[in-house]
Amino acid sequence: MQEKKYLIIPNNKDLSLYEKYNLDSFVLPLEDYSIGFNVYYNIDEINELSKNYNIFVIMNKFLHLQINEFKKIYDKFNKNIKFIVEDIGLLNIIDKDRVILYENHILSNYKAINYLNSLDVKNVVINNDLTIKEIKEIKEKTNSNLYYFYIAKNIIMYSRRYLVSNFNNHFDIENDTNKYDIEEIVSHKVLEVKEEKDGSTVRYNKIFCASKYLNDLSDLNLIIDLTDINEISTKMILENINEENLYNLIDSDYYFLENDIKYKVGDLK
Amino acid sequence: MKYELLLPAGDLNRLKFACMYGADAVYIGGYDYSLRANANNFSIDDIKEAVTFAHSLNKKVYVTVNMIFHNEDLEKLDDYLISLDNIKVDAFIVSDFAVIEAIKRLKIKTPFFISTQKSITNLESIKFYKSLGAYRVVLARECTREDIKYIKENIDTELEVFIHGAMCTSYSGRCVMSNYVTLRDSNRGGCSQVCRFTFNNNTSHDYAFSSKDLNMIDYISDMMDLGIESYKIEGRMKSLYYIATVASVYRNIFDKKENNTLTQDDIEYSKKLLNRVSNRENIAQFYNGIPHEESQYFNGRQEVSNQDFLGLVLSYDESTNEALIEQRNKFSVGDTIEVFGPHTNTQKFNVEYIINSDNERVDSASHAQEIVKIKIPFKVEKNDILRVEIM
Repeated sequence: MQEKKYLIIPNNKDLSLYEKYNLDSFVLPLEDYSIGFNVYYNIDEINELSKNYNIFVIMNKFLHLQINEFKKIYDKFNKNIKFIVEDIGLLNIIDKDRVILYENHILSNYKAINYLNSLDVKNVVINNDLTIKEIKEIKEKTNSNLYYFYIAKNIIMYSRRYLVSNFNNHFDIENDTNKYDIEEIVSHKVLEVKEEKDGSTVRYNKIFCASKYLNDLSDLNLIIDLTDINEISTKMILENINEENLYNLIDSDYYFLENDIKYKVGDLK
Repeated sequence: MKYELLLPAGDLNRLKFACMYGADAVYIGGYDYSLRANANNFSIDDIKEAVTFAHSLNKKVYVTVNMIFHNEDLEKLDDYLISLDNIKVDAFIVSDFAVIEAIKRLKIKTPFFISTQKSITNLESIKFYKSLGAYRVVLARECTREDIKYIKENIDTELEVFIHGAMCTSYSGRCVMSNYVTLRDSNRGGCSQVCRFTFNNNTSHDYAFSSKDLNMIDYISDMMDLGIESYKIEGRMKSLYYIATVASVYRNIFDKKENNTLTQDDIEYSKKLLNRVSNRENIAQFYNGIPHEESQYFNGRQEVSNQDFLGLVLSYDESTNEALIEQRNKFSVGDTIEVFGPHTNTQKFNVEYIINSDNERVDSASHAQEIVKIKIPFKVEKNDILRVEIM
């Protein structure tokens, strides 16, 4: 077992590839209930893997009427499996001790976390756009079990629209891609738009990596999302997973860990 | 059934016009904690005046406290909520659990609604928020008719739906592109609308994924038949003219629906008015299912400024049939102009003469906000609006 709790979202379906790095906890995107990942798993696969690994299922879609379908399949999952969920309605369905609430980039303060704790929602994913100072304050002032996207090409937008095929259809572009890298023409920042059958996600193309503050984050459950990270960087991450210097070894970005973000025009210098 | 028409207001003046022109309720934001950090917004004194004004007309005022709080934002939250409760605002619109916690801990009696920022798309989510004490839930704009119908048939919590105005490309609240591209926090009201920017994507075309606006006019009657309680117009940054026009159009539709006199001609005429005042194209978006390319723009910003608003009536002298007008866009002698107002049905007249503030007859009123006198051959009232003729 690793000294620290790393939870891996794989970019390759064969989990045995990660065994040599002594990793045994995985976050598996559930087919049809999650979006924006490289690989998805069905219930049978998840149950089978849960015999050998610590398995968390991630469901990051808003479920609309589909939530009624989940009610029917929930009991089919092995009891040792936990669920990381975006749709708040799932809190009514999944047992409280098996659910981790993940409102992407939303849960950003200690009072909200403590209130959820009082509702028996004791496992939560905190926003990873917070500063390290904010994270430390949250740690000091909460007793919840905190999860944190420690390394990831962050999903920075989630839409129910078909943002690749709509563009292609509009311009009569014939290709079979479901993904575009788009560069904003002023800032030159690059975003990765990916379309799937239930909508689209946008990821930032630089890898958020909080390794510089690994010691400060050590008592959090650290999620490493390898989605859309190339083979070389994936290898670098896995080989140096316990190194504070990891952020220097990959094309990383940790701006928000060290900089407050403004929201009023008057605050911008 | 009584249907609530809910209008936005970016400042006190626009709130008054929203109320006068037909809103049943208006939602506003204070200087802090709302998702339009860069609108004019309302001071506590403004909110007090807004509530007094609205309540005098038997209208309601809802205050948005719907940003996502960081630790540093929590300090003054309790005092703010207590102030608003004392002013007797009619509801808070909230999204952060910290706000719900504060409302309950402080035993504040003002009801709270769950903001569209939470992107609520199903019955189970509403049950969850109902269990926390939410009085009303604002549904995600991505909900289809099927979603809404199922929800409404299975819960008695009040529902609010957006029927008109701008749309995010994303599910509301699930976009921080503004943070990453322009370093402005979208979930604390600083959204720089990156989804309306233009990008390169290594094709021969610029990439864009901006959404057209929402317009539910074709389905408003159907939505009402589903039993939804509140119908919301987007646009706290929108102009007084936009607010007054949209309020009056939907007021007319709502009244006719309630009186069972709504016709397709009414809908078609309303569409003309709404399309004139909009600066983007609009469609029904997700109501009939996930929309495709017709719901988006692909060539960057395509917005047109509107110059239909010609003037505001300041007073009317029935003995001379002359009105004092504050000019907003150029009009000239010989023009045909429409007037509409809270108590004035839409009527047309020809401009016979224009007298400026130096008491001189002029051919045109061409200076912004100049005060001119014109003859209007029928009675108008203060705060009536002059606009170009809508053909």
